[in-house]
Amino acid sequence: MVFSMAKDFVSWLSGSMSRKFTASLMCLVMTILFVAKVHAVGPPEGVVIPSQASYGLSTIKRAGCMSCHKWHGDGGPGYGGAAISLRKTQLNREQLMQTIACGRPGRGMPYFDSKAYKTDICYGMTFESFADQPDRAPLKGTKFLNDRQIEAAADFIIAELQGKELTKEYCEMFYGGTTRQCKDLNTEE
Amino acid sequence: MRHSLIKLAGVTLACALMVTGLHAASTTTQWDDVVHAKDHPENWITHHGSLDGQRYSRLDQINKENVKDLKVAFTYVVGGLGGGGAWEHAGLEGTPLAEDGYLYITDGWGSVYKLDVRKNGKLVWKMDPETDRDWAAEVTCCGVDNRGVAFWKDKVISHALDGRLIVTNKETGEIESEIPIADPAVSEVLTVAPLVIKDMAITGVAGGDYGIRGWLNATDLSDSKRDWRTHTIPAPGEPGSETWKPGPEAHSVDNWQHGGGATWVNGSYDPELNTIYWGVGNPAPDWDNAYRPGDNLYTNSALALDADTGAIKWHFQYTPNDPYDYDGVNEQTLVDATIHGKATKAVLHANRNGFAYALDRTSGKFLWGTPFVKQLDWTAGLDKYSGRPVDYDPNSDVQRYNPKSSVSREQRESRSCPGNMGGKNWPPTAYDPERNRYYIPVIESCGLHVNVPTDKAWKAREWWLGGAPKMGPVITGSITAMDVNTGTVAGKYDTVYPQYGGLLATKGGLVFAGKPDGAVVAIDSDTMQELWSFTTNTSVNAPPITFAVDGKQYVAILAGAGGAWPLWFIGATPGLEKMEPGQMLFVFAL
Repeated sequence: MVFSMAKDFVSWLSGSMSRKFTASLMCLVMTILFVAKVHAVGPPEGVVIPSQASYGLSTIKRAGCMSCHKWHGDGGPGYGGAAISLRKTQLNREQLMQTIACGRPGRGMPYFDSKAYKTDICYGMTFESFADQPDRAPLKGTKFLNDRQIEAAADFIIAELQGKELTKEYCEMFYGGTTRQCKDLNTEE
Repeated sequence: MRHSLIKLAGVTLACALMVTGLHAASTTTQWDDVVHAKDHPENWITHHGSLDGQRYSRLDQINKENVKDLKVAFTYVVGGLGGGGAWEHAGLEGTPLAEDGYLYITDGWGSVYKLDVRKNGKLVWKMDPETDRDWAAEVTCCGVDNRGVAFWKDKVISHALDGRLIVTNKETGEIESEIPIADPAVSEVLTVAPLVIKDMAITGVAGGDYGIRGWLNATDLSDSKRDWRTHTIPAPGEPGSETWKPGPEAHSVDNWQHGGGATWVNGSYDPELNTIYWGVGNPAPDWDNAYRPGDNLYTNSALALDADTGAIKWHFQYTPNDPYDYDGVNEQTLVDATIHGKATKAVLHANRNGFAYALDRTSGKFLWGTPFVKQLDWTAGLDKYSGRPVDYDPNSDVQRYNPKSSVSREQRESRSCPGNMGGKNWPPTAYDPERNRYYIPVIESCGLHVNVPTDKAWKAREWWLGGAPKMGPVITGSITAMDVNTGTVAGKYDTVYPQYGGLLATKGGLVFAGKPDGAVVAIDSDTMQELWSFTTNTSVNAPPITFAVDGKQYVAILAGAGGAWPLWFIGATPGLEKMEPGQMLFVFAL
């Protein structure tokens, strides 16, 4: 289909041009289309990223969530702190969104809402509330997330992690394709 | 006439080819060139500039008087910024090598670039090792980084993060052999530059925070076979194994098997003594020292090894049974210096624990140890004879040092100065032999620690920390000069941010450094005053080098930080979050 359209386009473009030139142009366009297809952004053939999850996944990668909660979401010790398991968390959607937006002061979880602690939207506290305990002051995330991103991150946790076992499908979705990292994992039953 | 013209054209062409050929031909690096690298300061042909690790150049065309006129000669945009595993992007930590008008640099994924200085950095070739990115980066504790290459004859020797030693043809850029050295399946990865000694490539390994059992490996480049491998954690029955007592859990009985002791920073070499000096990293699990009772040799130690066999000649341990992540992996700087008024063959070292040390490098005997940081509270000092921390308790297998500063299974949170990043981290020091001064890039820090008792057995490719660092108060930095004769601090150049760019000292009376806020500076080696500054506008983590081509001196530095700081410690350095990742080589000249 794509190649047929390309042929029509080239025919229209070349008009009365010589057959040789038309053929060359055809080759050029097909090459561009082929290269574009090979290098198209997205996972390799056979790997499906559910559309509702992809924005949440790109958000948590952008915010660096997995540098503490790990790629598998199960958390555990790391240089970023001993993060909780997002697979075992009991938090509901609203609580997840609040935790992402506000972090957990004194517990290592940073805040990702640029408005946090400038007013009292987070637990009724502001930066001034921590004036006499600087070691427990809120930690700023590496990047701020907007409301849509915070919702998407929470939805991703609920849809793909919370209460779920780690599977090969999840692993390949996370990395965007087959990788040695996922080789020994079980597939979904 | 026509015949003559053809002849002339032929001769001209031949001459042109010869000239081109001379410039394009690969240079063969002989072992003798490396041993005497300091005598040819126009080149920088081994990681630290010379095998003694001094990072000192005899070039003085750029000096105190004229450094204010230093300008960009050319730049080169480096590839390989993309991420992998948990890392959104890679970083540049490499030391370039320079040889006969060509620069050899690496990006974080181990691609090597050969650039022609005479053509303003034009790319001659790029070797991409096609690193297995997610597989390797997911077990890389502290960033997608590569610290540079080595030369051996007409080859360029490099590492890929996924564990390979790669031999590349210096002229064509073609890979001639790939030798598996480290195994990411057990969390071993390679960020260090190879150190070539004679016909051997010495490889150190990263992965201490994932519970590897560390080692140094020597590969015979003539046949790609292993010459020797020396583990930094002794096996039962070997000397030092008595310092790994069984832990309290069933799974901590054989704690030595996953005891850490990584070796990810380049060591140095003394040709006369045929001895390699190499720092060894922290024990693991880092913050749960009750899991590993005993001193945990040879973690947090300097090792002196016989270069031919890898046998350990002597060791010196800085922080036994460490509960702070005071990694001892930093470089070892060999100096023939006056110490306490006496000519001494010494080895200098600036440790994450905040002390600088001078040891007799023939024996390992402690000479002096002095805090180089402004705040240090984890011990009251070092024993003047042994160099051991005075708060070390010889009657205890689990050390607390200053109990307020350390975590334990009973005290789950604490605050120490320095924090776990140091002191000083991997970015290298420089030594000026004319001034007998040792310059240290300092992280002036206090930090918080958390203990999480290790309740599960070690698992491959999982962190093995027994806790974590926790963001603490604001962290600043300095470049600190030590007087090596007396072991005292001679001066400080204070910095707003932790000084995580490495150093270079020159005969021009200058110390060059890159800084996290994007500045590259030259400071006066005597007064420690800043004489020149240039803003790259991206964080600088890598160390500078200097070299000369056709009689003109250059300073080169890679700019663009990745690593642990932007990810986990940024909250302690407000303002640095504004630094965008980027990757650029800057080359300066008058």
